[in-house]
Amino acid sequence: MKKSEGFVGKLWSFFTSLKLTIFLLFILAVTSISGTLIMQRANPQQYVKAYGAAGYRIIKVLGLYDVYHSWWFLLLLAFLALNLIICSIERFPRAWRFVKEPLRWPSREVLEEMKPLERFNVALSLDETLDKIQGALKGRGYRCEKKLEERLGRLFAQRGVINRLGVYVTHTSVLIILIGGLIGGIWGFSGGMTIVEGESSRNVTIFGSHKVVTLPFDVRCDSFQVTYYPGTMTPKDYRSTVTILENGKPVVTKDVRVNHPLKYKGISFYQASYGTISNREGLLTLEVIPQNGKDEPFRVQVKVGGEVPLKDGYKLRLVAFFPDLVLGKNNQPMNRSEELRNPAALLEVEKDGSPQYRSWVFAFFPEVHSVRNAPFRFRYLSFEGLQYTGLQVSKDPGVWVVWAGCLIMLVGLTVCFFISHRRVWVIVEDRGRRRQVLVVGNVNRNHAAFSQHFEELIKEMREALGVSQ
Amino acid sequence: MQGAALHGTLDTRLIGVVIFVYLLATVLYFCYIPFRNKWLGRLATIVVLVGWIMETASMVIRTVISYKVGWGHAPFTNLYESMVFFSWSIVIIYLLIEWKYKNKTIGAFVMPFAFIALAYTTIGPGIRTQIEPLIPALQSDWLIAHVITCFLGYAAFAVSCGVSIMYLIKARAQERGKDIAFLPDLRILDDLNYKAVMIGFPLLTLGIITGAAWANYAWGSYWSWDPKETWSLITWLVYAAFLHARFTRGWRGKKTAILSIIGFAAVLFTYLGVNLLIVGLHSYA
Ligand code: HEM
Repeated sequence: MKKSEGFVGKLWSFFTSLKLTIFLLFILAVTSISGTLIMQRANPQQYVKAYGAAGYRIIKVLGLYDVYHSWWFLLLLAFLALNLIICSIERFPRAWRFVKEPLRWPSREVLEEMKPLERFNVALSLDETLDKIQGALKGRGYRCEKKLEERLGRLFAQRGVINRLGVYVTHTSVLIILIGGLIGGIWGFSGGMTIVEGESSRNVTIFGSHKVVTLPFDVRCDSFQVTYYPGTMTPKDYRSTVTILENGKPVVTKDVRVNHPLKYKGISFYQASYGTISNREGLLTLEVIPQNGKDEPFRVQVKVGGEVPLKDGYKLRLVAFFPDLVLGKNNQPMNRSEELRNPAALLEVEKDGSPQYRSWVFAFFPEVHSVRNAPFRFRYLSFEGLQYTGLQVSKDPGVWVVWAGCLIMLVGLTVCFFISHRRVWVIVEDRGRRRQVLVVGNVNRNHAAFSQHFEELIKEMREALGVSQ
Repeated sequence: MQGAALHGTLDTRLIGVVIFVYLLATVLYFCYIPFRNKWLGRLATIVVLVGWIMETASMVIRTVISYKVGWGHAPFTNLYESMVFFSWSIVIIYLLIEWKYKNKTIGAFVMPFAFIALAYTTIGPGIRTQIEPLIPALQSDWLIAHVITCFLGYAAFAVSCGVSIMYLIKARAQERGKDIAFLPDLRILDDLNYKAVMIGFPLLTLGIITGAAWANYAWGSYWSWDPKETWSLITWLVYAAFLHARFTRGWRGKKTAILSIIGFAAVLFTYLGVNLLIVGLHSYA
């Protein structure tokens, strides 16, 4: 479309502008920064606390609480897509002509204007000369076409013409990825569910909102386990055994681990978090070490809030259990998380119904005892709490579109950057006793490398034709 | 709790030596520039090569040790290991360019990046050099593909940044009527700049894609606008703008040199700034 009139025409030429492309790429880069500096998807109180009421108002108006889904960011992406589509529509026909109707037989005058150019004379016949030259070109991966005229033979050879289309492949891939993202945004979801061992659920809480998606089946957590590297506190593996139930009947059972999700009916379940429910049904195993110097250590098991007899009329009560103990305000013991990261228990020893003393035990600090000169010391052995697993649940029907786009982009970039369109024209003219050869080359990028390539090509031709250098 | 991590292993001591080897190489390249002595140039290249082989050995040793204690992972899992790999990538890409373009002066402007990256491992805040077991999230083959492609891309961008700095220094001198004859021709520098970007861009693209694949596999979402992801996209957009400015608007020389430097600043922020200043999924610490 040439210089267009009217609104549509103006709009069209606006979107064919390459200045717009560079501007959009830059603006997207610059505005993306904001979302890495400002908290995203936090709640209003957090913004007011961090930036003040006025700051929050600006954030709200500009959608800075969720930059990458704000109207103006999506608008920029839409502009990028339009720019891309319209630019391609404008330019593709020219590129396609290069492929479909290459300039095979330009006039001698046109060729003589081009560089690099080489001339030499040959004593062989016209046919032989053409064949030998063609052989040299084919050996270098060129596709050749031959044309015979009166006392004249011509060759047109090219390779890498696909490079002319690489840009369109790359740009199409950008659009495909954007479409894939759009599909995921419209028909997909991403949320989390927590399931206590032995229980099942079908409700997924969507991230960043309080919406709940109900799955068309039940998910049961059969068990959850953490294993550690021997002798360390570094977790080696988180593993939930999960069963999918359709109408109450188990259909699939699988271990879900980090990096090993479960997929069922287009919905994926990922191991995301876990915890121990410390105030319900947990069973603590302790080693009891009598301090009277004669009794052997022994083991007891006690439930949270429960009691267990020791020796000599003493009883032990498990007052409280903390899976992840930290000291809060005023040194109040509290839980940082529900994970068994710093398990600790508060014990009380009674005799004849009256409390004697209280003692802490810590899983990771076995040498710490809070009471001296007590009749018993305790050592933490294990805690079998009811655990729950936190699964991330997501459905993204666009993900395969995105992967296809990524693959196409890699192909497109390779074709753009590492292949060049090289053309060679040859005219062999019969001049009685000798044949005069004219060879002309052309490339659309990386001229320095092509010059060298052309020189080598000429050398090969000369060798094949038996012409001295 | 014994055995939580292995301190002062052989590989880290080896890296301590490599730091000085790279410093020596940088000095040799700087000496080479004014004298143009053939043997000095060869010596510089040999020193780099020796350093690089030692660095390779260090990474192999580290992997072997980690397998021996049963943790078994490639050395790409924390800031220290990635820094070592970063400098390793810069050196290999530099050596390839030196070999291909037969130009040693670039070394003076690229080797400092390799040296600084390694020296930073000894002075940078919060860098742990010990070998540690791998947390579950990092136990993925995608991690290896992701780290290798990203860092080779970063290294190519480091080269383009070094070349661009040379370009600006030379262009500035010429504007003042002087010439810095020992620096390569402006045309060559300009050409190298965009060639390095053409190597870096597909690698960064591949790095982002493998990162997305891994995130999708581990967390169920290929893109979650985590700060590191976002910054890698910002970097990618800057270099995409570079390519368009160069190919379609005909930007050359100074403008593209500046774009290259901006691009590399974005690379550094993606790599280090995000870890140090912003908290997200990726923070190694
Ligand atoms: C606003 C959207 C965009 C528009 C309008 C646009 C337009 C163009 C145009 C017109 C060309 C030159 C083609 C030619 O020489 O015939 C080009 C080249 C190119 N574009 Fe884009 N582009 C856009 C976005 C992108 C993006 C996001 C990428 C990222 C991969 C990209 C990658 C490339 C590449 C690799 C080249 C090839 C450079 C070369 O080797 O000549 N473009 N673009």
